[in-house]
Order: sequence, then C-alpha cells, then structure tokens
Amino acid sequence: MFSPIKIENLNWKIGENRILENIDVEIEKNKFVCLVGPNGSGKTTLLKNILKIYEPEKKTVYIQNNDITKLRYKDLARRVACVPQNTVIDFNFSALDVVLMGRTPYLKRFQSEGKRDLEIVKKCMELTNTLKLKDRDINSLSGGERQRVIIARALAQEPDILVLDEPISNLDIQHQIELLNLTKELCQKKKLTVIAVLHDLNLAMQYSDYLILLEKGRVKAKGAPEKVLTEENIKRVYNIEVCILKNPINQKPYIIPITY
Amino acid sequence: MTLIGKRKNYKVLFLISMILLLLIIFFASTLGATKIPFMETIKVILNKIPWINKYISLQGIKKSHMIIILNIRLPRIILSALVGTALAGAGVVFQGIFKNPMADPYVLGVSSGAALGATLAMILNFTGILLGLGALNIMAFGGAIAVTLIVYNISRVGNRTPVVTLLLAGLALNFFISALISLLMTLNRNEVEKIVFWTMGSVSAASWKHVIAILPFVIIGSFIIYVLSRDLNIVLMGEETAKNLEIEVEKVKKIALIVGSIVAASAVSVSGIVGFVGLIVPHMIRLIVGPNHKVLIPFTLVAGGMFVVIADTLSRILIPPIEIPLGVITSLFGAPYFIYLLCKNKTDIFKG
Repeated sequence: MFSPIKIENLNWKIGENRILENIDVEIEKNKFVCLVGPNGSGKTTLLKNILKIYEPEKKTVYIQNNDITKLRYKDLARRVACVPQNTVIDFNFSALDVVLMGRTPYLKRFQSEGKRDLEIVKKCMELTNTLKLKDRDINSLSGGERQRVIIARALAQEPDILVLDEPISNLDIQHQIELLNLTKELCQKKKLTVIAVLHDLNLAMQYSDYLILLEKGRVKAKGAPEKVLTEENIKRVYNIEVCILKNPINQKPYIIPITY
Repeated sequence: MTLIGKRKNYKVLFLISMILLLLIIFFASTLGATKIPFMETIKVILNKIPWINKYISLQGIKKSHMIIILNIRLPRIILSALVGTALAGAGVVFQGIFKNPMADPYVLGVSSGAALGATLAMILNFTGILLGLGALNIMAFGGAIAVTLIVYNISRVGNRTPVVTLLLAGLALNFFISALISLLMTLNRNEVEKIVFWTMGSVSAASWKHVIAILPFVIIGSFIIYVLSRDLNIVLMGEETAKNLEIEVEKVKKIALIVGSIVAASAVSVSGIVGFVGLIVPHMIRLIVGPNHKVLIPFTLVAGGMFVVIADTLSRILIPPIEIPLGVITSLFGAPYFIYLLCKNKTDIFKG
C-alpha cells in the first residue's frame, strides 16, 4: 500500500520569505499525526500545500501516490477534508445545511442532494454527536458544538485523510479532550489518517502516533512522539527549559516547563 | 429527515409567490389616473393571451382605455418588475460573494457610473437612438459598466481580488464620481432638475422597447445567479473550506461580479437609481427562508419584482397627478419595514 501523504523536498516562499524548506515527510495510513512547532514555523503553510490551497511545485506532494498538482479539486476533496482554523460563518445556516455542504464534491452542478447523501450526512452527524443540533443556527452553537459540526461536514466528504488546523485552540479543557477523543476514535473506527496542528505538546504527545516538529520551515524532528519531544529538542525549538516526567496513568512522557 | 419535506414546501411556496406576482401585476394595471373598471382591464390583458382570448369579448371597451392599459401601464409595470428582479438579484449575489450583508448592487459603482453617463448624455444633449433605446439609456449602461471595470481593475492583485479592497475602491470611486456629477450640475444649472430626478429613479418613461431591451439581461442574469447558488453557499463558509470543497473561489467571484454588475447596470440604465431594493429585498427574504442560496435566490428574484411593482404603483397613485420618484418610495417604505424586521429578529434571537 502506498502512503496517504508523501512530501518530497517541498519548498514554499511567500515573497522573499522562505516559509518551508526541504520538507520530506511520509505519513502512514490510519495514523494520528500531529504537527507541532512554534508560531510562524510553517505548520499552516504545510497544511495548505497538502490541501492545494497553495499550489505546490510538481512532484513534491503526493496524495495516495497521485501528484497533487495533477489531481482535480473534486478528486482531492473526496480524499482530503479539512477543518480550518477559523470556522466562523457570517450567515445563519442551520447545522444540517453546513454538513450537507460536505457532499458538494459528489454532486454535479444541477444535482441536489439525494437520499444517499442525506443518509451519509445523518451518519456523520451521529458519529460526531451533532444530530440533535441539526436545526440549530450555526452561530448559536458553542465553540465545541460548532467544531463538531464542522468535523461532521469534513466527514461527509467521505475522505481518507482528515486535516485539522488547531482544532482545539478555542476550546476549554473538557471540550479539548472530547474533540481529541472523537478524532482519535474516527481515526481508528473509520480508518482515517488524521493530521492535526496542535499547540499543546502534552496533548500531542498523548494522542499522536507520529509527530512532526517544525522549526523555521524545516522539519526539526519526526517520528514517535517520545523521541521527538525530548528536552533538548524543546529547548532548541521553543527556547524554554523543560523537565520530562512520566505520566503516572498512561506511562507516557509528560512535559513540564521549568518555572520558579 | 425533515429536509426533503421542507424543500417540497418551498416549491409550492415558490409557485404561490409567482402567482402572487402575476396577481399584483394584474391589480397594478387596474390602478391609475384614468378610471378604468377592474373587469375591463382584466379583459384587455387576457385578450392578449393566446388560447384564452377566444373567450374574451372586448365589446364596449373604449379604444383609449385599451391603449392606456396595453401601451402605457403594462410596459411600465413589467419594466418595474424586471428592474426589481435585477436589483434584488444583483444584491443577493453581491452580499453572498462579499460575505457582507451591507453590500448592494451599487457597491462597485454601478449607480454612480450610470448617473455619470446619464448626466453627460443630458448635458451634451445626445438624442441619438440605437435599437430603439435613447442615448441616455445607453450612456447610463456604458457608464455603469465602465466604472465597475475600473473598480475591479484597481482592486485586482495578481489574479485575486480581495473583498475589502474591492469595497473600498468602489466607495472611493463613488465619491469621486458624485463630485464630478455635482461639478457638472454646477456648470449646467438648467439641467439640474432633470439630473436630480433621474438619480431619484423612475420608470415613467417606460415602453415595450425598454422591456425588450433589458429582458434578456435580466433573464439570463437571473439564471446564472441561480446556477451559482451552491457555490455562493460554500464561499460563505470561508475561502479555505470553499477550496477544499472544490469551489474555485476566484472564478466564482469573477462570474458573480460580472453578472451582478451587468444585470444591475441594465436595470439602472432604464430606471435611474432606485435605491434600497438590492439591499433590503435579499435581507427580507433571508429573514423568512434562511441564508441557503438555493432557496433564497429564487424567492429574492420574485420578491424584488413584487416590491418594485408595488412601489411604482404607489408612486403613480398616491398623490395624482404628481408622480413621486420611484427611488423615494422604495426608500420611504422600504427602510421602516426593514427596521421593523430587524427589531423583530433581534427579539427572536434573544428568545432562541
């Protein structure tokens, strides 16, 4: 089996600024991958290259062995779904309307959503526990509820890869855990490959199977979480002293910033 | 799933609103300065419809009445329906594409461009006639399109047109052109009244030629706007999501801008500046049927037609023989109703 996402020597510039340099990453199927790194290290830019929001050079980004520059948007949308950083919508769509939009890549121009589409949407809303919100106005939902609706929309695209850009930065701790549990569950149950940008290193450590640490547009380290987030790596990338203990419950490493 | 049921309801509702529009048109044509009995009017109109006309007898109806209905009232009413549809359609498409509820058909300079064109035609006394249309209409149309193109080109960065730049460029150019028009009016005092009345909007000079001239723009434009409905929905979700859902935002934006501007320009070229329709009709309908463009667009198109037909009828009959400018009526009655809807909606939000 070929890997869902393979990136070979990807470079990206905005004006004269090099945002990404020599990125080489291969992601295995059905893994929960976390992308970490300080602000401005190129995490979102990397995601945008995977989503073809930025058009990368030829032969740098491969989605399921297809050069992304040759994939049509429609085909890409059926493989990769995204949960963007900003999910605020100015108009009062109902949650159901929003999720239904996830079916767009499967519809022809004059075709409206059919029974099958509605069934898929219903299933996605059940999975994300949002079915009871279906008639609610998207702007009346809480941050956590809205985020789950957006994930339902992404699932309605029936993707193989789910990309989440800082999905939990606006949520409280309960909803953070709830959302990550949900994502992890989707990864296992629906055989999805998940790539998420996370700022919380401890949550990244606990939830991910594979970690990519970015520093100034380069991959500083990648691999098993405990091998990537070491005291030295964190010191070099984030410029803070940390001490790593063992989480008494799941035995995973736990990072504590050293403050006095 | 309740959605499918809801959609069927909308189809029935849409049919009802179409019938309502026709009834309003009928009714409006029975009103006017000359008293013509209701039944007479209905007979005269039905007589023009194939199949039905066999059963209608026009005996005893004065020739002058027939001319008033067929050549004066009907073209005017139908023209106002088309103008309303065009402005409401352009409004709904601009509000969607700019993701901004404040946008209206005039944001990109359609109105000021048309006004400049019309002013020039009046001052230079152009009287040429092309395809049955006066130089004034053609100059207004040309001015509207020219200014929109300038605004679009100012705000284009590479192959992208950022929304905020577009709105600001439109705003700046609107002010600039208003100043030009004021200057032209100062220098040509004897044309001031004509120019001012033109900018207040009116369809009183309507003829079948005007109707035929803008009919293709309105019909084709409305169709394209409807075709864009799904794309507009998804553009509202944000550009990243839209791209991820295979919508090419820049392409949709370009089509929407071009179609919206042309449709609005065609309306303005025959009616002058009729304010408020393009801003509030989409809002009124959004408050009733929600923001989904698939439903919103068809209802907005029909409602725009109704709104302007009613407004124009009021402008004819309120204080005869004076005609109140159409733009005055649309704003005078539209604004308070809109404010009422806003207040009503606000309390609903707090309740829900």
